[in-house]
Amino acid sequence: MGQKVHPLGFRLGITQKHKNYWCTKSQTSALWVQDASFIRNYIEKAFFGAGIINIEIQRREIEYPFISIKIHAARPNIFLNRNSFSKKTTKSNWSEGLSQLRDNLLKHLKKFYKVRNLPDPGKIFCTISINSTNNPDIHAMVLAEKLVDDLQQRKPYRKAMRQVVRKAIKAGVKGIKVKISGRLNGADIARSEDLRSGPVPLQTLRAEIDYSEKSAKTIYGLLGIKIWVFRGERLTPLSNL
Amino acid sequence: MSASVLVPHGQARVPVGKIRIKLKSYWVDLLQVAVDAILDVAKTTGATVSGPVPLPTRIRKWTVLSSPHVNKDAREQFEQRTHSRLLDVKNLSAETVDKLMQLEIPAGVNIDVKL
Repeated sequence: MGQKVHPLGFRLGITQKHKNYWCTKSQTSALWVQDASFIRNYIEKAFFGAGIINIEIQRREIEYPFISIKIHAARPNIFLNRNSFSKKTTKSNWSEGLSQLRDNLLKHLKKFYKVRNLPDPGKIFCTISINSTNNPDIHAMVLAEKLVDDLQQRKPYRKAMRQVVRKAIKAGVKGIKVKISGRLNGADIARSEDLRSGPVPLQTLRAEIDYSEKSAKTIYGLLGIKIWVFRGERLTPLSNL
Repeated sequence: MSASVLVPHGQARVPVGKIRIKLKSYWVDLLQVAVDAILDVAKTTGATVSGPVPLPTRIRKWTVLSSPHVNKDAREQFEQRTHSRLLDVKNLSAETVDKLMQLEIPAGVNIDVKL
């Protein structure tokens, strides 16, 4: 209903790092925000099954555009194998796969510039790096994607929620809260249900809370999914390095 | 401004004067890293630096309505702080200038160089 502040935005600078890093005038910054949003959408759509946790984008203001993208993913092998426009099935070489991803991304980015009637940026210098995590189930994005998958396959929602909670606790989180809203079980009247386990202190600024919001398309409409994961309090200040 | 002078290293000084570097960022720790990098380059190549002068922080504030409809009194306020530092690098040599041009600075820092 809109009374709760976004937990990630609330903690920016305290326990949450920014996802974009740059410092320019506001006009270029506005363009770069659009670019960053486009890049994120493209990567998330093209590599859906990879369990993307975070995409960090850094840009520098030099004569030519310089973008540095760091992708944190749970299953990075999908980036190798599913370079959506290639006919080859597997690539054993990481650098080959990544450079193909980069070329495709830049091609689409230039098209995006054209669509907005902006001058062609010329040669864009872009570096992409992919980090994998050893424990993907403590991140809310990964859990939410799993839940979306389950609901779209028409699994019973309570069971799906319980499985998500169980997975997270097994992976070692201190607290988790899962909330599903919408036409549960195809009911006429929408309602929301939530399932909690452990503490999730949303008012504590130094609590490391990971949050993700996704929607699952079912035959009855959209189901909204929100997951809050509490990973412990952080007592030392955050550093951006 | 300064004549070229031979110093004990044996390097000839180039009569360039000084470089004024202004660093801006939204994050203080990234700024500190950039400042340290420049000081390091200057020290190893023997230039003198007028230490990092912290200029006043510019704060830009935005106030927006937090509700999608009516409720004029409920707002949300955001601010953007731009921290700046000023460095003067004097007694330059060609080596200093070279190294400074190639220096890699964290992405969140904006650099303005005036010769």
